[in-house]
Amino acid sequence: MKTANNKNFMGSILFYVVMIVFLLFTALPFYVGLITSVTSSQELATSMEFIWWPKQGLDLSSYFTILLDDMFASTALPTLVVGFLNTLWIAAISVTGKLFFSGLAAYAYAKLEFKWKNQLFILQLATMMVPTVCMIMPSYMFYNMLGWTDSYLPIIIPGLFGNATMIFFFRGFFEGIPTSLLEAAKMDGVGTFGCYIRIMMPLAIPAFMAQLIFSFLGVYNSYTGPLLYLTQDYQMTLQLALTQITTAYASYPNIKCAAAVIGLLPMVIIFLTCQKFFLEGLSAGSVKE
Amino acid sequence: MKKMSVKKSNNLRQQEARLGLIFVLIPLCAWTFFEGFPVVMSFAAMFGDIKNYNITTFTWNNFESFKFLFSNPQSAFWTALGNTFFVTSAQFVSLAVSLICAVLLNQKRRFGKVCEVMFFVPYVCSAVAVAIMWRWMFNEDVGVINNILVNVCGESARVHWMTDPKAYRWMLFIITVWKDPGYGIIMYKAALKNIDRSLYEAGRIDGANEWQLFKNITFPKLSSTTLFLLLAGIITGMKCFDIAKIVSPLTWTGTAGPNNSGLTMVYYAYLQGVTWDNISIASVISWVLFIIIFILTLINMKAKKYWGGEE
Repeated sequence: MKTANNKNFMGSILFYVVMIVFLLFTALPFYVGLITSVTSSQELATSMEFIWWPKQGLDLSSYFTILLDDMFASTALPTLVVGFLNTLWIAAISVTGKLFFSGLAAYAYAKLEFKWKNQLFILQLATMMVPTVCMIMPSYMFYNMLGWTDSYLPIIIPGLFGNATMIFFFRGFFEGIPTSLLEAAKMDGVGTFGCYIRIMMPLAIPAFMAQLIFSFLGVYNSYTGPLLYLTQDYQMTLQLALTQITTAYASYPNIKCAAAVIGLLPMVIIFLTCQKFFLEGLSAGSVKE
Repeated sequence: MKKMSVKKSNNLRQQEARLGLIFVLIPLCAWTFFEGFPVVMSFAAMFGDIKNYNITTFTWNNFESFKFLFSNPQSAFWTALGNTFFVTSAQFVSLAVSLICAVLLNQKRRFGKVCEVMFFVPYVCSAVAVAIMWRWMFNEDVGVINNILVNVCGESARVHWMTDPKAYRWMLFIITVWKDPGYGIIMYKAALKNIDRSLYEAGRIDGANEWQLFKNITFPKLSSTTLFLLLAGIITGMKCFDIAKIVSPLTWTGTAGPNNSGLTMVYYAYLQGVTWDNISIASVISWVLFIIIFILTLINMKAKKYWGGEE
């Protein structure tokens, strides 16, 4: 009895030591970013070492600077606001399209009967063999030939029609929905497409939510695509705006850190409030094997 | 009446088959147009000079791009390849960290859930913001890391992150270990949930200690998750670009960091293709990357058959 207790005690010591060390490591950059962003520029300029806590009190001027700064005369709004609005509408269109068309294809694979169904599904999965990372340069050449550079098209259009991972994920989910529901709807005169909108979609809301969050995360954080194709000031997305701000204020660590904090904050808040969807959405695909 | 309804349902079935085909062809056609074409074009682009990214200006260049990249062992290409493998090796550390954390979190102690959520936060952070914060932390004079090192180990411990090529490479390594374990923890935890509890009870009755239980039950049962995470991690490591680009912007001498120590494969492809307008060379780099990832995927599949067969 005593040894079992002892063992348990040692176990919890080990657990908390590892957890605290790793938590400190995880939290350190956030702490540093936050604290530096509220330290005044003078204090930073005169200090010889890292400031763990600003002695001159908290100074929020860095946030006002970047939130209000209109770096490009060509845009009427502050740069950061322009970036944020651009990111939002790009995300709205591309995420909606991606979810809709992936779901549609997944519905066909899961519930409809047609020729070459299995072969086409294998083909669809095979598209995953070409990692997106190898596509950056080939696509760049291709969109240049199409004359799509300097426009939103290369960022929105190619992803709009669904992708293999998402189709695979939705197919798994749709297969769990009983076919009898669809048959009953057909009796009532609901068409093939109507079944997708009125039956599959409402029943698969958790699956759609999980994918919605992940694709929004992808668009919100994406940097490479906008960097390549959005070269005009008014086209800037949030992440590009942040890099512009950090170059413009290269010698002001507090402003750079404020930019980083503003860049992270929306996503971190969304994650903390919807963590259930995040964490379940991630592991749902893998558990099934 | 009966005939009518049979005919009607036949019609419906045909219509359904047609629609189904259309539904699945939409993503396939989009892929063929937006990825299939560019892949074919970039294959051709490897063997010629191309102006203004227009494939119709193609002129045969006698394997110049290959010679340029591969002939000189000191060239930026080999540096970038080495750096990319170095950054990718961080994924192994990240995997080990996530395995340890997941196993510990699976004991369901107090605050475990909170820790799990906190560990995942870096994963949702944007690469741009992460790179900005870490670059500030790696500041040689007033950065928090040197500050801690100097306070704990004295002035000689100060690391010259920005000027010493060896230290420079570690920046990307450390950032990777910070950012990526969250994903692995979630995946491992989901897999741990599926392990049959009775196996452990049987093991305990046979007198096995915790380490033996881990070695003989947990780890083998996790093998397919490990292989999956390993492959995903390797691909993540190979595509390292945004953090690398922001942490080490191009200097006026045309290098990324001292001796190009911040250059990764994708970054190099980007510089060649976009900044210096050598799409032919950029295509070769992309194809090398593709072949490396392809080979690693094949090895992983083989390993899965051999090692994770019981799953």
